Amino acid sequence: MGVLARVAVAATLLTPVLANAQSIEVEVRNSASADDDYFCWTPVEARVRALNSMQPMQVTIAADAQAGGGGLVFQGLGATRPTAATFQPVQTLSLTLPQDSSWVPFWVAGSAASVGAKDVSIVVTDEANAAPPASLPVMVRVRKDARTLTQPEIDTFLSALRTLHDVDGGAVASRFVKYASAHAQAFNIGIHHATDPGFWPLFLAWHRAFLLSLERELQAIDKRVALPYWRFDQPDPGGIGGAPRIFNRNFMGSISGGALQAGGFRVTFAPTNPLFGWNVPGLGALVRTADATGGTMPANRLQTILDLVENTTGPDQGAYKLLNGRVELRYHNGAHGAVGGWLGQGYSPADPLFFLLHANTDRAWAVWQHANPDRFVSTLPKSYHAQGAYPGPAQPGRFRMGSYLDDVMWPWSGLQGDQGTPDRLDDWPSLPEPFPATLVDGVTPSPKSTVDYLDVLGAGTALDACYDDLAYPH
Amino acid sequence: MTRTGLVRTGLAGAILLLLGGSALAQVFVEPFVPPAGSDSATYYADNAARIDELAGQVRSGSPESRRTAFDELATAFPDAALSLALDLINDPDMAVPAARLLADSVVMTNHQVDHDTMPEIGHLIMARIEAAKVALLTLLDRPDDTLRRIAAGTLASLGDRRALDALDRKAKEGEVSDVEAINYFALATPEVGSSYISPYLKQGEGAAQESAVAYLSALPAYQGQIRDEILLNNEAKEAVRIAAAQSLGQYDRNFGDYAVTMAIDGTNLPPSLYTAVVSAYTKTAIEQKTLDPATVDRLIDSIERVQKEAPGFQIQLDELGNRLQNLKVQ
Repeated sequence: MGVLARVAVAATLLTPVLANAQSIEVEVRNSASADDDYFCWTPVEARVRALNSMQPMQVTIAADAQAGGGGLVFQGLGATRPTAATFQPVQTLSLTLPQDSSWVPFWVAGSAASVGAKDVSIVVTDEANAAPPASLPVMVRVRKDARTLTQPEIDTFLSALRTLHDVDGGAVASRFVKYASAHAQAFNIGIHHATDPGFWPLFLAWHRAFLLSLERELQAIDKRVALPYWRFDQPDPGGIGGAPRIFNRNFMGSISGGALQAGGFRVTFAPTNPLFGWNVPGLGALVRTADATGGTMPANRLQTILDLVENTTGPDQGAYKLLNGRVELRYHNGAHGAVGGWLGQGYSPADPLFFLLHANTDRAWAVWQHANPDRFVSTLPKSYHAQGAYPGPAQPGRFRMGSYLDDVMWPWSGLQGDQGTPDRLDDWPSLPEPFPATLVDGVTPSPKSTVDYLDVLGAGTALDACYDDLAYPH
Repeated sequence: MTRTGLVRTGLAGAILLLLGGSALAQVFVEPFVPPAGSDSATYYADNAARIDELAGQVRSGSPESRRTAFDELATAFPDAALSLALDLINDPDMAVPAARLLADSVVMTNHQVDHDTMPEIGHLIMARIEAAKVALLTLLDRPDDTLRRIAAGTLASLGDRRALDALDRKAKEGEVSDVEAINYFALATPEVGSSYISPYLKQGEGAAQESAVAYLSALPAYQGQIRDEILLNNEAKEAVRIAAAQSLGQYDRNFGDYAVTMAIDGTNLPPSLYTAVVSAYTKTAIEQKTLDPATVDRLIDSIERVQKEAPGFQIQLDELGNRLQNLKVQ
């Protein structure tokens, strides 16, 4: 409910004179809760209505933005969800609100990223000035280049990580540790080795869902959090005097001055850093072998991969099947190896840097999709080569169950152990702690659900995660 | 060790039939030959001309153009590039990019491969990992620091015993420093790494002993030995004893039991060691909230005595004394 609208309602109860005052209500995601007023580039449903109006009210919808903060755009279209083909955003939207207090739908999307808070508002103004304007603060929450985060944004992210780390995880040491545990167990059931000769399909899709699961948990702690990404193909200066921005004791830590320990050098954090003393039972204190401040590969590596995937001859030209393996081997592996320590092991998500590394890996997939919009269409083999559902044991050379487009992936499927069939490829690792069954409301973690992450096809399955430099295509 | 793709005619698939007789047939070597009948073989066969062209560019030309071609080959056709890399590590102009590709191909692969996942290729993936590791092993003997670092860092992280043994031997022969060797041993799991590092508690240069102490103090199995044979041993090197005080203070849960005795009674300790012990003890005791007022008083007395005897440590001890005085006020 809008702030001013709430004031109007409260005033109705207290001041008879204002009992019939005209007012405007505006909501995002068709809910009065302020907790869901966070979105990114994908248009989300919103609605507005006039209360106590004796006649239809003509209103203007626009953003009240601060310089350098979030920005918004709007679209009418009624209840029809926009797609990349139909999205035609405007800065200012005019609508007519009926006098019967019924809601009028519209669509709102971010056009510029917020800076760590609800710093932009949807403002609805009665063109006749009979009703006070309604204003609803929102946050355009997107994943940003970690080098560009403000210190408050860094602190918000790190505090949420620490909170998650400190929450009892039941069968595992903490809610955070369950991610390292699940990754280690899933390591060899198809989520890696995406390159030749197997072309196992899950690498990008599985890790996209994995990132989203963690991001949702962090957002349950603090709604303002979006995962930053580490451009491991670029240097990390950016700080005062060109000091590292990411490999810094106030952010992701540094091995500078860190003692030698099992697996590498202890990562040191400033005492005020929420990650100070980062420790995982069974592993001890966080270690790495290097601060990768100079980047871990040539800056043009990603573009080289994208070009080659598009230009390769044959039926796999421009296909996810190639991209998936090339990104793993030629882009992501080198970053894991360059940092080393925990990040060079199967339990690598125990190092929070894993999620920044993989956000950038996931961004690589997104960059490719944005350059080739048909790759958002999951049912095209170019977008995901293991089409359909698990074919069963009669199919030679098949991938493991959970790898196919329509399968639910492990661990979100909740399956574990021997499924009681002679088929070895429908068996699963143990799952000490469950993962949520959905990535967002109604979206089950299948490879299919990860492909159109922005919902450019308008199916209502946006994953509510965007990158700062990859706008909603239209 | 490796054989060319042509030799594998028993597995003749589309790729070998297509490539037979061309220069490209000499590109692929086991175990990087695409499996016959696989999607991979089809893919490489479809792109045979380009692979052939790139392989030619990798083999001759300026160093820069060769590296550019190799980068493209590695990205588009990794099996071909990995095949070539096995030889290119012997080429001065190409050894580093070849080694990096081999290293990237085995990152995290000490996580045991599940053969059940895809029985048809599980064994092949294992063979490829092993081939890359064997190639990297040969780089440990190179005088080039970059190559040795790539190989040693990668293989040590994977806990490869052959690499660790080789590094151990090289340290003994003086080809790599003890500290460098210890830094590599530390990359393996504690069970593996500690067996290579523990001898340095008693041997090697002082800096190596300090590194060994820093590493092993975190492992409960070695804490008693470091306490008795180094920290409490007046014959041990002072710098190593200091390293022991700092590390045990950080990791040994029982540190306070013996450190307080050293701190209160140990005015005969070398001042720098005394300072390290009191500092480590104070830090630990404050964190663990185990400092009682009587102990604080005794520590302050002890500090004052040492200050008189070792005026050079006035500032550090003043700071510690002030910290303890503040505790009394609180």
